[in-house]
Amino acid sequence: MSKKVLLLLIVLGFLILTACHTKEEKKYDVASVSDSLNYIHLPDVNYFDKSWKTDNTLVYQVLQEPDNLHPTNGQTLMRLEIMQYTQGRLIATDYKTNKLTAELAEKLPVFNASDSTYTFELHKEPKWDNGDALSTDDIIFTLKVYKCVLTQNDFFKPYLDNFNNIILSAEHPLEFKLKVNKPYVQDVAIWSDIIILQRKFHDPENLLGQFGIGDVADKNFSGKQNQKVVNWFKDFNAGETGFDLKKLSGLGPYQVTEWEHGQYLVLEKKKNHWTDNSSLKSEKSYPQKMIFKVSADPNVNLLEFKKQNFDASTTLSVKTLATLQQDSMFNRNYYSKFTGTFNYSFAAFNMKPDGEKHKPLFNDVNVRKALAMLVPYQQINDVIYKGQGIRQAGPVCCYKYNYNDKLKPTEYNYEKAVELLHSAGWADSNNDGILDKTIQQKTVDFKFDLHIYAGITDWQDLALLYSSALKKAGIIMNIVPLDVPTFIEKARSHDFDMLMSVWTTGVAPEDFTQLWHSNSWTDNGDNYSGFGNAASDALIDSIRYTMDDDKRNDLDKRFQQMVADEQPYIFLFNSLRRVVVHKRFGNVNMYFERPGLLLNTLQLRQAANYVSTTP
Amino acid sequence: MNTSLTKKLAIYLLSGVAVILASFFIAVQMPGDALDNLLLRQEKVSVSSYDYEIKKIEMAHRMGIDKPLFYFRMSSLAETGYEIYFATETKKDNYSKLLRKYGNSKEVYLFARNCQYTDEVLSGLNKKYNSSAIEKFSGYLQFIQKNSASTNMDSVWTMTENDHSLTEFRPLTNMLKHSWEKLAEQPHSYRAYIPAISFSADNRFNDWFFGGPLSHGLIHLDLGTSFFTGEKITSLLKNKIAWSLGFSLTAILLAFSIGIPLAAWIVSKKNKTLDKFIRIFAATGYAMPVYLAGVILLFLFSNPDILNIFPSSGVKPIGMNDNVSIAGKLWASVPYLILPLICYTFSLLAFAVSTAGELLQNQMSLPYIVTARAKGLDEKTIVYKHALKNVLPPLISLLANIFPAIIGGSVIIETLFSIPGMGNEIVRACLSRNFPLLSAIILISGFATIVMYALVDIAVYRLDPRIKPSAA
Repeated sequence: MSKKVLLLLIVLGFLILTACHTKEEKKYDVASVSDSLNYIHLPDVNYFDKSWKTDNTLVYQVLQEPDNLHPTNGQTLMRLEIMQYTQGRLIATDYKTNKLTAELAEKLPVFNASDSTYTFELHKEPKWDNGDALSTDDIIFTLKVYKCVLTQNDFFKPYLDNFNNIILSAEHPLEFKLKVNKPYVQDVAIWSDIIILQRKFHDPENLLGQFGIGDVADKNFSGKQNQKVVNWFKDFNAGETGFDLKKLSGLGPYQVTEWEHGQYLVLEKKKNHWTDNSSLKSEKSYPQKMIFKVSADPNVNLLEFKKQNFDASTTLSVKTLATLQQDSMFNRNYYSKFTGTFNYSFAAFNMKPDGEKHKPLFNDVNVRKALAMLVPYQQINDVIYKGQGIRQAGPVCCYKYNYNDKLKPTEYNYEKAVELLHSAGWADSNNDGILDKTIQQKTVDFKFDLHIYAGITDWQDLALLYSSALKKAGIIMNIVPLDVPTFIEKARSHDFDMLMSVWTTGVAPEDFTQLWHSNSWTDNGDNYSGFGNAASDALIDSIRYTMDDDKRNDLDKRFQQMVADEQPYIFLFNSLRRVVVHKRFGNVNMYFERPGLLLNTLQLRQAANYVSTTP
Repeated sequence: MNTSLTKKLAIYLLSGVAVILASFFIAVQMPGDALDNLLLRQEKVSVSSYDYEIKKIEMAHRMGIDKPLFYFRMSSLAETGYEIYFATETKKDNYSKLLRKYGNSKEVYLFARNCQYTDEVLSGLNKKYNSSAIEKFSGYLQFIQKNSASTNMDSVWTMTENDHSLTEFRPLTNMLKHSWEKLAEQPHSYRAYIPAISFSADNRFNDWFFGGPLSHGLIHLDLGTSFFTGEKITSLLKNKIAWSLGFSLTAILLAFSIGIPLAAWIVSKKNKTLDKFIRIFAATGYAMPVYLAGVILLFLFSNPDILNIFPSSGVKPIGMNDNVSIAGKLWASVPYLILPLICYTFSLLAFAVSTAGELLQNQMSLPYIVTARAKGLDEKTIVYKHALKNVLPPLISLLANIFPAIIGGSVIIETLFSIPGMGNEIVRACLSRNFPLLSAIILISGFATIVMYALVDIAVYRLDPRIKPSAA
């Protein structure tokens, strides 16, 4: 080989090594929830670099696009995050105080015990895209659509069971009373998840006007016999309602103007939106355009942030952000933190499989406990979470006021796990290195599938570490990455052996119905594992209707113990959010509540006000 | 028409049929997961509801899934194709066992359906009342369903009739007993052993190809509907095909237009060091995984720490103004296309240079080259004017063979660089078990490969002087 060629190869190798070199050793910047009550405010820096862009367009890196932007039937958090900017709700969360606040309502509703109603008054200013003012007609229509048996939002309906009527006031056209069966802990909070729909836009013929709120929620809803109504719901539930940009009308300050599937989604600020004149800084929206750019590859993300092509993110892999935080140029250009969340990750067992497609591997609580003891928690924490992960012991996030601190997280214990598996009848009888057991006269090997979200590096790494730990114990776990809608559908229809996911919770009082009530298993809700019996259901029902905080906390703690004893999940870690914001934006607050950042409140700083610098 | 051309046409036709059939068999992988998913999504039927299986059968019927798969069906005289009506493997298995034992298809079907109906009624009751009597009768029913093909049922009927706790289930017992008696009355077990070929014009392939409840048919260029977005697959893939084919064809063009002259130049120079270098380059090109090549390119040419020349992902600037002309849009896209294009071209170029070099080297020792040298022609003229002409046909033939590999590579490149092409769509379709979409992609890729083979054949016909006369 000639000297020239050799030299070229050496230079090339050096360039590659330089690109991969980590520059300075630094501790990871982690802000846990206990550091500050509800959020971290980051003061603006006193410089504006010459290389920074000055256009008021914010590019937000996301891992996946939303499953749809349907007003009622979507499933992913990404959808909720976008809805936050494009749609309006009666109630919202004030992220700084983590308390409920009024959004489209004038103020928080007041409960009147004498007639079991909540009195709401609508804000005068909100206007739809066609100029019509928000009216009580829209609220009634919204509640009907959300509650109707023909709407495909079964997972959401239990939260609305309590609302049985809306009473209008003749004197005050913007006032209405929401009648409930009995006070329920989330009567008000649930309105922060309900997207208000314009009746005239969605149902110009007022087809639903002929039915009462109670009628539409009835299983024998008479509209099922009316072809026009059936067709209306068919169209409403159809994919188009969630994908066609013309149908994505809402009361929020932004509208979706472009959606290139799998690539990006563009939100543009509406002109003369009613919040423009608001005195509250938190209500105002600053970026003219927000681009949700889908980018999952960690290498590409690393480079895009180095090049300042992305302005913000909350979903970088832990490894990517840790690497970026060691780059001085990145730190000069971006605010970045690992922040605590109210989320927790878990692996759910299918405790009630059909026995044919999915073998009854996890029916025995000892087997579930053994599998929990085989998770290499420390290794996962060191490798994936850089030692910053906080273990989760039960179904309530460890940062929440009602967390049962008597629960102790399961620790890795190989010997004990093997003992439990043997006591449950699992042994390697044919010496093939895999545990087996005779179930219904058939020898069944301990092999199963683990469903994870596709394209997310941290999940893949976590699953691989677990799989290799299980193999040592003679258990074969096959990792199956699925896209989000398929993952959720399979989970809800009990078509899985084990799945790994994360629950994003908030500061609101807990209602365990959606995740743990046995009805939520039979009705294909989010009780994926099949946990539940008469006692746990009764306890969940009591919690729903206990308005006294202290009493409810005691019940919450009892319930957490009940779940921990049954081990329907392997409770993994309290997730860390990886927040990055470009320093060309000011007014940066990082919240512990989801989504962690309020993009609309990020305010472009004026370059002219600062001395332009270059490092 | 000459024989050679007829043979070629027949091969293309057969390949086309094979692609269509392969695509069809993927598209019909619907029962099971997909049918359950559709039921849950569109009908909102709970898996655990007592009428789930009925709803599933109704939906299968509505979608034409209960029809025979193809025009011809090999079976026995006893078989009727009713297995589709039994939702679980155990029930299907039991039905098949009964058929083999008794052979009278109609009675067997009625008995198995009655068992299934009873099962559904009991599931419904069990959810509401949870009594021990229901549990007991369910146990009997399970025994009947599992053992009816191997055990005499008379004792079972007597036991259930004499059990006073099961009085309320008498009508269900009578229904089962009655249909059992009819079944056992006239067994024709021989029918299960006589092979039969049945023909049905109304079948799923017919619907898929000529149009049916799910689509207007492949013949009308309707590739069906995506499971998840409900979009027509034809419109979904329209732009994606353009991106993928655009990249693939440009990469082929670049690789061959650079690679062949480069190989000729190296051969004409007779430089051993250069030859070695090219061999190393070719070996690296083959060995390096496309993903790694892509990441190295990104870290070298899209990295502010080294060279920040190209964008890292996407194919155009986001939110480009609609008023921009097509030429303007194309120009703005150019920087985005270079790295993926290099990635597409890299291994192809290695292939073209090494193969062309190898073929040319072989030509250089042939008598006609020796004669040319003896005539005093210079090396450059010999290589470019004489040797190159002779290596073009085999090189172009090889091109058709590597086309499917290019499509395979596009999956990785498009995912890494976020290119909205078919490769990216293949990943999404696989992850979401979107069989109609996957089948459509396979169909398009298959036909693109056949067209490539056809074009290559035509090119070879025109270039190779030895083939042309025989064809003529």
